[in-house]
Amino acid sequence: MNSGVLQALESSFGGDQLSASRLCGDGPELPLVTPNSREGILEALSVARRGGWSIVVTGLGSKLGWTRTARRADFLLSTRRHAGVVAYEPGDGTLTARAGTTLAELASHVASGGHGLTPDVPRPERATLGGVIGAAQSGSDRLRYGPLRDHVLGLEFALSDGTLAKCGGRLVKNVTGYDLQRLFCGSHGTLGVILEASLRLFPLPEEECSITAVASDNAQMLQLAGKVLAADARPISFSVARLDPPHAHAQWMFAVRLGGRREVVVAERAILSSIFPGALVQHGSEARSDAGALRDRGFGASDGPMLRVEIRPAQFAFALGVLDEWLRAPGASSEFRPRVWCEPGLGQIDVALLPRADLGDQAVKALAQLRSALAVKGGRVRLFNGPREFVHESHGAAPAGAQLMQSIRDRLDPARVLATGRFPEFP
Amino acid sequence: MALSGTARNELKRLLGPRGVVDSPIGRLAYESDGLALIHQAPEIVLLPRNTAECAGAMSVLASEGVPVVGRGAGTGLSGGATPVEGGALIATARMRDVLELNVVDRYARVQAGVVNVDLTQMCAEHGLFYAPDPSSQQACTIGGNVGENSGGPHCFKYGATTRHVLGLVIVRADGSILDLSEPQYEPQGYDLIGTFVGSEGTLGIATEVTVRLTQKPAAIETLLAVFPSLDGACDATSDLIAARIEPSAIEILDKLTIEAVEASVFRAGYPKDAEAVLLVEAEGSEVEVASTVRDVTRIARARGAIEVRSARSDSERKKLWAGRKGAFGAMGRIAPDLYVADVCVPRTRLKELVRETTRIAKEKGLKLANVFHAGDGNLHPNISYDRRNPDEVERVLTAGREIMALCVAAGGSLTGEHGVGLEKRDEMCLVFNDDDLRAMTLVREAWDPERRLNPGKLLPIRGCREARGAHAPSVGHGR
Repeated sequence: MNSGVLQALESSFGGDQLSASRLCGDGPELPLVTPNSREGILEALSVARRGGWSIVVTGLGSKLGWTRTARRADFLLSTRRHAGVVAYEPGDGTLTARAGTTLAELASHVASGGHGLTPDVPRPERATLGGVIGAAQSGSDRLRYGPLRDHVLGLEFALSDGTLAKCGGRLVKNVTGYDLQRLFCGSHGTLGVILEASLRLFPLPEEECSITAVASDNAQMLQLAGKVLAADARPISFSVARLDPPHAHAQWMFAVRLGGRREVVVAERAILSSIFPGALVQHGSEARSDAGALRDRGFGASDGPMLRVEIRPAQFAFALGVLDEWLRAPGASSEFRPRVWCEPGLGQIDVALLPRADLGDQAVKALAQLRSALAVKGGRVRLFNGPREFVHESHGAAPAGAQLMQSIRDRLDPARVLATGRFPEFP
Repeated sequence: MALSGTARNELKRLLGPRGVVDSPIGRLAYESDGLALIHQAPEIVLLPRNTAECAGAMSVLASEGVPVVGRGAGTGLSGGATPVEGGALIATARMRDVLELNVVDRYARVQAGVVNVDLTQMCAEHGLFYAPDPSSQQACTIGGNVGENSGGPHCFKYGATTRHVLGLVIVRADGSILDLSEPQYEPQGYDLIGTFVGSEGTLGIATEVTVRLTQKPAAIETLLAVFPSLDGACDATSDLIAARIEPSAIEILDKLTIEAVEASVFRAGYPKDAEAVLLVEAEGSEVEVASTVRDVTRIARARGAIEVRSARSDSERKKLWAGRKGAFGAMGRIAPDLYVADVCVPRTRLKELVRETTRIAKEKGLKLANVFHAGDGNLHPNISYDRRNPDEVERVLTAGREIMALCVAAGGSLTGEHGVGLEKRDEMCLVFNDDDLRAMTLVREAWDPERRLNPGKLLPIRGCREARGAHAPSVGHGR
C-alpha cells in the first residue's frame, strides 16, 4: 500500500472512514475511503488531485469485475456511506436518493406508498443506487420496464476537478438541457462520481403469480418461448434455465413472473396455463419468494465469471444455436463449465462459468470464435468477472465512436483522476 | 465568417442545383421555425439527399468556419431551428427514404427527413407503430424529433423519443460520419445515442435514425370525461397518478380550447358547455383496458365529472384525437399568433399551477387557453396574441418568463418536449447554475470543439452569475 496515499487520506478522514480493499481477488490491497457526506467525497477527490493519484469509484464493490481493472489505482472511493432517501413523492411516483443507498432499502422505502422500482437485481442489499446506474445494470424485470437508463430522471454528480453539477431533475418528463444522466448510465465511474439520483417508480403489483414449467429439448423450448412472447400477456420477467444435469424428459425450465392488477393477472395466468398445461403455479408470497429465488440465481448473482450473449430478441434461436455449438467444440468445452440461463424476450443468454484463476490462450481463441459467429446477426458477447487481463480481450474491437468517448472523458476528467483504463471499450 | 464564392460553388457541385438555396426570396422561407417571434434569414440553405452529401457539405462549412443550424420540418416551437446570422442551414427535406423496415426485429432505419406519421402508416399493416406522437406528427420529421427528444400524448405510457431510438448516423461538425446505425439495446461504451437525442442540433446532425417499432395493443379504449371546472379535471389527473393507474395518455383541454376546436375543421364533438375535458386512453389486453377504464371512470366521477363516455367506434376515437392534436391549429381562430409554453410540474400540483398560469396571463390582459399532457405534468399554456402589436408581444414574453419561473420554483422545469432552443436559453439559469452548465458545455465541446453547431441555442451565452447580476436572484436553485 502506498504510504503517501494513506497518510494523505488519514489527514483528511477519520479511522471509521478508512479501510482497505482490493480491486479484484488477487489484486494488491488498496486504501478504501468511505466518506459519509458530499463534502467528504469532494475532499477525497481533492486528495487525489493534490497527490496526482488515480482512484476507482465504487459503491459496495459488487460490479468492479464488470470492466477491465483500472490501469492505475491508488485508492478506492466508495459512495456507500453517502446514503439515504432525499425525497419520495408517492403522489408523483418519483424517488430521489443518495448514491450509497442500497436497492433493498429503496425498494422497502417506496413499497410503503405502493411503489416498486427497477432494476430488480440479485443481492439488492449489496447493490447501491450509484452502482447500478454506473454499471447500467438491468434486471430480469427489464422485459416489463425496459432498461434502467429510461427511468433515471436526473443526477447530481461531482467531476474530478471538484465541480458539483446536476442534470435532468425529479420530473417524469423533462427535456431541459442535455441528458447527461444517460451518459453517466454505464460509465463505470469514469466520468464523475454520482452523488444523488432521481428515479421514476412503478406501481407495486396488486397480485403476483409465478409459473414454472419444463421443456424437453431446445426445439420445444424455443416453440414455447415464442408462444409466451406472442401471448396477450405482459410478464414482469420470463427466464429459461438449462437443467444441469438434464432430467430424463426435461432439459429446460421456464419461469414466468406475472404481476399487476388482480383481474389482469388472473387472465394472463389462464393464457399461460394453456401454453404450459401442468405447470406449477404459485401465488402471492410464494410467487414473490419464487421470483426472489429466481432473481438470485440470475445475472450478477455471484462474483464468478459470466458470459453474456446479447442479440436482437427475434434472433434468439440463432444465438442459442451458435452458443450450443460453441460449447460443444473442443476449445470451449475444455475451458468452460457453463450454466446457461436465457431471457428470450430480451435476446440475452447468460452463461455462468466455473471460477478459475486464469483462462488459457485456447479460451481467448474460443471466445473470439464465438464473437465472430454471433456478429453475423448483430449479436455480441461480453465477459464479466473474468480474469483481469482477459476482460479487455473479451470485449472485442473498439466500438464506433470510441474516439469521441475518449474525448468526452478527457473533457470531464482531464487530469485522469478517475479509473484510468477501466473502461474496456476504448484505450 | 462569410461564405466564400469558392465554397458556394463547391456546395453547388456537391449537392446539385436543387440542393442549394441562396436567393434572398428562397432563404426567407427558412427564417424561422414554429417560434415565429424570432426570425433571421440564413446565409445559405443546403438540402442534402443523403449522409454522404451532408458530410461533404459539412466539411466545406467546417473549412470556412461557418456556423451550421439543422432543420427538419421547422415545426419546433422553441426557436431551435432559427438560423444564425451569416450561418448555413442544413434541412433534411430531401432525405425522406425508408432505408430498412425489419418487422421481425421490429425496427426501421429511415432518413432523418421522414415524417413522423408516415413511419406509423408504413408499418401499420404489420401490426406495428412508432410510439412518439407529437401533435405536429403530420409534418414533423424523425430527425427533428431526435433533436428535440419530442414527446406527445402517448409518451405517458411509451416515453419520449429517446426510448425509441436504437441507432443513429450522425454527421459531426468537422464533416466526419459517426455510424451508430446498428440497432443497440445496450450501448457499447458510453451511451452516445442517449446523449445525442434531445441535444437540439448542438452535437451534430442526424442523417439516419434507427427506431424501435412497437406492437399495437390488443385493445384500446378512449374516454372523454366532461368536467364543470378545470380544477376538477386537474384533481382527477393527480388522483389517477396517486392511485398508480396506468392508462396510455391523460390529456386536458379547457373551455377556450374546446371552443376553438369545435369551431374548426378538427371538430371532435367535445361538449361546448364543459369547462374542461379529460381525454384518457387505455391500451393493453381486453381485461387490462376494462379494468383501467373502470378505475378512470370512478376517479373522474369522484372529482365531479358530469359525464364519462367512451368512443363508440374507431372513427369516433380518431376524431377525439384529431381534435386534441389539431388544437394548436384551431387556436388560429382565436388570434393570429400563438405562444405555446411547455413547462413541466410535479403531478401533485397540477391544479394550483394551472390556476397560477391563468392568473399571470389575466393580469397582463392576455387570453390563455390550456391544452396539455396532464398525465406527465406537462402544461401547455397557450397565449393568443398578434405579433403586429409590440406591446402585446412584450406582455406575452413577460408572461412566458413568469410562468417558467413559477413552475421551476414549484419543482418543475422549463420544457417537457419542445426544447430550450433560443426561447428558453436564458431561463436555463433558473434551473441550472454555472457549474451544471459547464458540465454540459464540456460534453458539447467534446462533440463540437468550436461550438459551431447551432450556436447560441440551449446553453446560455453569458454565465448565470453574470446574467443574474442584472436581474433579481433566480428561484428554485436549492440543492
